[in-house]
Amino acid sequence: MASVGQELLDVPLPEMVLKLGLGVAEAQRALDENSVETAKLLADTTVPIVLAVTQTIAADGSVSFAQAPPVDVSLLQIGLMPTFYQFAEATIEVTMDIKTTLSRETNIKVSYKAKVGFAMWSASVKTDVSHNRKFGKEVRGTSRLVTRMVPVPPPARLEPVLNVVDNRPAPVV
Amino acid sequence: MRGAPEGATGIYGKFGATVQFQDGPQGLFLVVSSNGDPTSRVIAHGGQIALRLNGTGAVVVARMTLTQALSLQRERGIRMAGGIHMNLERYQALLASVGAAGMTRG
Repeated sequence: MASVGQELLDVPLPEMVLKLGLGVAEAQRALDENSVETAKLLADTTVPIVLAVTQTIAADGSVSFAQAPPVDVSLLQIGLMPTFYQFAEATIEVTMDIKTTLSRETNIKVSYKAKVGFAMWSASVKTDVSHNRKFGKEVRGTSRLVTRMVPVPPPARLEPVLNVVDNRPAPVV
Repeated sequence: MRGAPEGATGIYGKFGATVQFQDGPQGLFLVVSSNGDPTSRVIAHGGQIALRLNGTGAVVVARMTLTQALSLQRERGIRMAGGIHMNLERYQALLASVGAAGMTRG
């Protein structure tokens, strides 16, 4: 009969950890791919935006508006960035409830037989003894897997850094 | 706390397992539909439309939780539901680079 300690040792914990790790890795890859797809779409989708509206108040008090021509910019340029997610924590919890029982049962059956005849008699005693030992084992187990995901900053150099070099001559005052 | 998204319970259910997702805070998600306006599906999953991005109405920015977005992504006709956020520093940099200016007195 396997001991309780052996039962605990038989829990496939390494396999569970391996499968959880592979599952997390696979899910992480899918999440990263989704974020990269989002980044591509943000880069490919352009919207016309008016970056400046000039309100002019004339000397006579009349007001006029003039807007700069719309500029097509990508959503990524505007500042919409993909959110990346990361598995921050993974927990395996195994709970086992082991119940072992041992019962012994002894049955004794005694029978007596006697015969009496002409000047003779006979007697016999028959005894049957049986021993039974019963082992019972009941194992109940539950496992709980918990993962926690958190948003993380996008990887560095997801997009080129914009540097502006203004070579216009300085205005004369 | 809520149950697993549609379709995820199948294989786990066969093993008697229950899958639960704990809702996090809401965020912005770019939702792209391959067959028309995804508004009704976004709302059905508990989200709200924050912005419509193109004329066809197939691309929207929705406000929802990650769990709701993952659930939405399993819907037929939803091409993608990816998390996004606004980087105000980049927006300011864009404005500065194109010379957007404030008020000037003539």
